[in-house]
Amino acid sequence: MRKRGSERRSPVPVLAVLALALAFRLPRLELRPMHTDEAIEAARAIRVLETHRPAYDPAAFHGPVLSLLTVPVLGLAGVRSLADGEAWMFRLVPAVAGALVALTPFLFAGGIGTGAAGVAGAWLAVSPAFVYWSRDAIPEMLLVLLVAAVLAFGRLAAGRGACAWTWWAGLAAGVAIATKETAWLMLGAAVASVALVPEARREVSRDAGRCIGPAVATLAASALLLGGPGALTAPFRAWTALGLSGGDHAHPAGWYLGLLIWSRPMANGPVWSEAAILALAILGAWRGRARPIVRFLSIYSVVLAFFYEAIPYKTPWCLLGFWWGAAVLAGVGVAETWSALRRRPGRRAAWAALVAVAVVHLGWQAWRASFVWPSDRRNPYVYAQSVDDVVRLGALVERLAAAHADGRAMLVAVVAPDPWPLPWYLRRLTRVGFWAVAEDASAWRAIRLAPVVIATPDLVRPAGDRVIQHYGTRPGVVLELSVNRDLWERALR
Amino acid sequence: MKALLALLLLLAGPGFAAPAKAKPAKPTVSATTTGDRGVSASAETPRSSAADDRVPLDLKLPKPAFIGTPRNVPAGTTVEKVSGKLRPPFRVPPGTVNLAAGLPAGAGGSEPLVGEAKLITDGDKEATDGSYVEFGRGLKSVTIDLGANGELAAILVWHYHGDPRVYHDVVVQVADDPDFITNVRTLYNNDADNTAGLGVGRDREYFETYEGRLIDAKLVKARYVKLWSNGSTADEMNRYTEVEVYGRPVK
Repeated sequence: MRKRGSERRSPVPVLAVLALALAFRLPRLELRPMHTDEAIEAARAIRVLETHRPAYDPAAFHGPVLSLLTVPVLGLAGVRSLADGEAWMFRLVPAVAGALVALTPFLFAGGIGTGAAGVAGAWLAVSPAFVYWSRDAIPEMLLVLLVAAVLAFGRLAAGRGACAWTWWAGLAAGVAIATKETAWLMLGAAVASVALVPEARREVSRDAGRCIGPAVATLAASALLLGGPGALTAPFRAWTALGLSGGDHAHPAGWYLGLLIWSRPMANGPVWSEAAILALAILGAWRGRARPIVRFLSIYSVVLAFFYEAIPYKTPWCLLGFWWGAAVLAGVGVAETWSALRRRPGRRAAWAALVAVAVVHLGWQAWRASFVWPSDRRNPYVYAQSVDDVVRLGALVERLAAAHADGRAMLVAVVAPDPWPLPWYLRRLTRVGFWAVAEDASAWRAIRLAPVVIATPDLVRPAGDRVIQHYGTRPGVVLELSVNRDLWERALR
Repeated sequence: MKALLALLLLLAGPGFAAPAKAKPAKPTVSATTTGDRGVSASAETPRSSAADDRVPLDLKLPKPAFIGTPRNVPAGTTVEKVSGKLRPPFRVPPGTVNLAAGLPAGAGGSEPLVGEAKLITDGDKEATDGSYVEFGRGLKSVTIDLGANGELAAILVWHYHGDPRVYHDVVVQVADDPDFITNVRTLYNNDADNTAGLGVGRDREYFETYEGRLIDAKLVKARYVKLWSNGSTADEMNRYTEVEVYGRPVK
């Protein structure tokens, strides 16, 4: 095995990858309508801002880490309530986390080489999947970052026999668990990988007695401190049933790989593919198989992909966990082939050109996915995305409030079993009531008399002369907007 | 799954080297239809020249793309509930034909994002990819030049009907000139907040279905037909699958 620790370290590759990643992640974060998951995360962050009490949400299976990291952004922006919030404030932390994810291959540079790490960083910087979900206010990118840190610290601990790195790994694992329940799957894949790579198994066995105990204690302490007991127990109690049934998110095995390799959501739309990363990852896994870290990452990615593909419950952002491993291996594939061609300059140049084309192709797709069609159904990364119509509805209700004597204190009744993401789009109105059903007679009367009612129409028929309009919130969900005709006509004037 | 497992075992290294939408379609419906309630003609409506001899209008309908009432469908409001039943027959004067069949449709300078404008009058009304033309975001219109004045009995429009959706600000106008300056008459307008700037409309919104929207043209005489829309509850795009203009040439 070649020794790579003596390679001269230059900051240029790190800075180049960082700049590339940020260029795709920071601009126009407000572009896409707020997804229901994002609207819920925004409300949770505001609750943490207001109460200073973070908590693991066993219903959503997500922890408070994203909220805790978002609170300083909100503080700096002068936000005091949800009404002050803008979409970019809640998407900034995932965007920065996504850029840091692109730097994580450098944590493995000692094992895979700086060149491979740089190329892997480029894949992560421009991968359409990584770019798209870096611009999404969900905890997935933080989770990928934290688990990458666990693997990197674990490798350092194994390589140097220093327990301190194990504790850091335990800390990162605890924070990952407090971030999102699927951390358990990712950490499980890492444990399986340790068990299946003889060198890793030997090193862990050697240090187990003095390091593993403190690392587990660090893990438990950090998870409990951040997420409370729910962080350790909720996934096993509730999520297991959902994960195995799939609920509304049941998809067949092979769904993730199909999305990544060859995806055409609508027949008249374009084909999307990140197959270049997969092909180069297989090449890297094969050519770098002599190195334990390459075998470790190969097995980690395959096991994690197997987990996710086997479980009926699938949401597309979950693929980022194993796709991160594939991107690192793709960097190895490029670097190993580059080295193998050192005596053939012509072929080397052709290889470099081919890789550059692949990077540009991925970047072009990332740009189209995130900036041109961020909420279009022809985009395979769009999933249960709020439709643009809900933005229009929010603006219209604001306009109605401006024409109402009570202004933003105008009563708005929302009667719908699942109103999200409407709470986000009505956040600046101070008297908005949400009912799944009208529970009692007085509530029913108030709902019917409200100047503005937004409802699943078979639940309520508002009183008086009304103008009725219809607005979509999510794919297949259409709600009825009912407005007093007087108010409507005042707003039009 | 098997491929993943094989790859996993292969990667394990020494000692571990032991060894991967179709919606139910109903038969094509050929039916007769009748006029819709809630249709208004804000312009002058000429008298029928053959009110007593009207015959049912024969329409060739596409396959239904979704069955029954969509989720969250409004009941008893200005959006018409999808009944699942065919419209009753709509009666037209004898000799009424689709005057728009195969004629070029203009989009006022808007280039389609998907498909071509000729799909609007090509007779293909199916809710399948390749059957519709898609224009971009916001208020868009398409215009059909009938080539000569016609006595118009009904206009049928299918936007995209592959899933339950309501198109916004649907306005249908006819006129005697291509710029819609002379003798403009509005046959349908559900733009309640006057977004399109064509006047406040009081017609009902409706869910797109395979039956299309039938607009009673009340035998107005016109050469140009213009249809507006402003995105839908599903997205901001404007899709037209087919427009049929039923009438008789004016001699």
